[in-house]
Amino acid sequence: MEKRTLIYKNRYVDSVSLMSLGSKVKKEEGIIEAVVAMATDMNKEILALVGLATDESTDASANDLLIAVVAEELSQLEAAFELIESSLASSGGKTKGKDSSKVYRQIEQVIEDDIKPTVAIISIPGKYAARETKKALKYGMDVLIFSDNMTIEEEVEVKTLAAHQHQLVMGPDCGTAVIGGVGLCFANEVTRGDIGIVAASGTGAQEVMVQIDRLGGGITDVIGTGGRDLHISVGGLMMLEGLRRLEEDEQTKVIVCVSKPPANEVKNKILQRVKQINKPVVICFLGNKEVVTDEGNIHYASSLFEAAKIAVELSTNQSIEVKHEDQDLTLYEEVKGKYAVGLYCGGTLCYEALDQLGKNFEVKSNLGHGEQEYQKNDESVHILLDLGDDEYTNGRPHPMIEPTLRNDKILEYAQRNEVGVVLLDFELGYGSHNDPVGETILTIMEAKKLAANNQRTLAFVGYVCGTNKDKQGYERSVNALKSAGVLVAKSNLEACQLVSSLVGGSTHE
Amino acid sequence: MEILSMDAMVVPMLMCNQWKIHSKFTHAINLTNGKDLISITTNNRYLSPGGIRVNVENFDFLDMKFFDDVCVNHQKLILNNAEFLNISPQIYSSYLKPNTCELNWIDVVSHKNALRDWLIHQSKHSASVDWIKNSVSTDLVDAWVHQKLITFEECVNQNHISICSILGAGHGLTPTGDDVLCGYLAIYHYLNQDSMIKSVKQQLLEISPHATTDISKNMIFYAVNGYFSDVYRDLIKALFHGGELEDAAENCVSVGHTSGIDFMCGVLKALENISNKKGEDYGKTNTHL
Repeated sequence: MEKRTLIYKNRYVDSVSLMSLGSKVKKEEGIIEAVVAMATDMNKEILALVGLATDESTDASANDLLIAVVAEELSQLEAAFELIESSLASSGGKTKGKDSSKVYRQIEQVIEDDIKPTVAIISIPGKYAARETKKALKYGMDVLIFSDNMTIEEEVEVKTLAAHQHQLVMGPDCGTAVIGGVGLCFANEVTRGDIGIVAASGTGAQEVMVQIDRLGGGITDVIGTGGRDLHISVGGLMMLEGLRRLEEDEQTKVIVCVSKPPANEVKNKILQRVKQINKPVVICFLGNKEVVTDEGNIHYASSLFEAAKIAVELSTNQSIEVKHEDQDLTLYEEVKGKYAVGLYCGGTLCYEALDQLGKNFEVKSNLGHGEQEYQKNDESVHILLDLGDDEYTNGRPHPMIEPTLRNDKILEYAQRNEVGVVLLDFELGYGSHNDPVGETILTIMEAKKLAANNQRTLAFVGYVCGTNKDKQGYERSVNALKSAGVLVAKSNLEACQLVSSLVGGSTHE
Repeated sequence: MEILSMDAMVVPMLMCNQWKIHSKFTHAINLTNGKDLISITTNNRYLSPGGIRVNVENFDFLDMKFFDDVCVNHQKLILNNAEFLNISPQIYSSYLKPNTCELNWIDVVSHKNALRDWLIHQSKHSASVDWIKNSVSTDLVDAWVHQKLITFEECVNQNHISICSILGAGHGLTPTGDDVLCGYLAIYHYLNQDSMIKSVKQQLLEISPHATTDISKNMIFYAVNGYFSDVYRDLIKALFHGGELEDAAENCVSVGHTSGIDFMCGVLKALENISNKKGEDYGKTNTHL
């Protein structure tokens, strides 16, 4: 074991940098302990207690920075201090040594350095997002606006400007895109191929790209538009621009269009444009109540899974037979007639579940309207909650980033006698938590135990939206859920069908 | 660059003392006269005690020579080559006025519980949050600080505030223990707990010069005299008189890495300590201290 304590005299580093430095060093290979703190008497006391105090640290003043590291080997200790030195240099606003990356504070500075970026991601308070979007558009970039709270007037303004110049403004509140094979924000690692997606829904796009990958197809680009794009006042400006991009892209052979049902006027405009495209287009307007039939190059899908399946069939020119894995539900006879609760991290997946389960059951949801609108005291009814909705995330990270925020809700519903099934989704990929299943599994087991102590059976149905190429690993996540006694579905649609079977509705449709 | 606003207390301080550049960060430049600190902050920061706010978004573009003299006159502040024009700044007060109204303790306790719930569910980690949640951190320093906080709390529960058990304890430029102490001080000051404040003042006279950082000492000095950042004052107002507690808590989070969280944990524990003494009265009537 190797240890070293260094004092940086009169070294002020802001707290954020100081704390991140400590965490960063601890994650390095072979590091047993790292203390990064100001050399106050109290902090020196703890250093002495764990045997890391030196003469220098004992003499240090409270305004000196104290760094102590314990590593398994000398080389690891050296590497840790190299990392510390370079981080301290960069936190002082100085140019990094070996690292060629550079932090720019303004879009103009990037342009001055003669760098020609093609995409800008805007993630700043919403009231400034339009201003920065206009700047990025001016310099020829497409823009993904992760920020929300942009006014609809501003959205119309920037999108009109972009459409006029054949540029993309994805967002505001756009969480998913894949451009040129690069996943932006929340996206999955999928095979490259010939299917392009334009979507006004984040997890909707993720579900389609994941299912395409699993069914043997591949993706060119995924263009997000932001949820309000098909609003009547925005008029689908970016859906139309996205379609144009994919139409012109030679690699794209099939296009998939995903959104909630748009206003009629916008829908007609989109369909009119789609008809002019010389490529097959799969349309999935989730929750559409109208009866539709395929027409010319337009293929309609009633679920995200079906959209992916049709797209892959069109791409490969082969029909796909979907095999459902037989799940043993005999253990769960007792839950028939009870209620299901879906606690979703993915908003569009929740919306799809509302659409699917709403066909057979009385369902309430915070995404529902009219009779389906959820009220806080609702019980004795099937409930589907989008926990990524503003009311649950205000001031907190999105549950796709921090899934533990859902755990309290799981335990809350698990204790309700009328609840027989809990439905959960897990999103893998860029941007998502490193182990969403791992963060939830103990809670699932605790919830089952609570129910069992109460002489109740509680079924868990899980769906993992991801691929094996995602950093979290699809198979690994699925196996972990199965080992905790969760019934794992292969798609969100199948998860809804499983829930139906469990609580007593129709089975596979 | 222009000075947008400054704390009322800064105006005479600037005129009467020799100031030097103490330290510089992305959003703050601190000046010292060897005893006090004045903090020049960017326009996207909260209003701090002894603060001067200027119309820039960050100070990364400035190179500062530390301990160089600062030139002060009525028109401008000159720090090395940087000039801050002092045209007609808005003057604010960071003084938290102690409570003089009758308090509805049923509401206060409900707000206190809401704050506890909020702190438990927010995503930042700190030793102070472990203290609130009664959970144990694997981080060496945090686990140590947690123990210190428990000891501190036990003393306070016996009506004895002992700052040496937490001063300078923890990560950061204003260590966790110091921020927690400021949370306690905010409550004691607001609720006119003069004996506690007096005790802290006395202990501050006796602390070791290396007990904590200059920046933190300065913060505690202001706190013990009733001066707090605007986001902290808003939190106190929301707790005692209603208002957007969640918004106020979220704004506090923007202070430092975990300073705002640590301050709120101090506020919560101080409030629990005081309200426990009033415990049985809640259900009966709207009492006041």
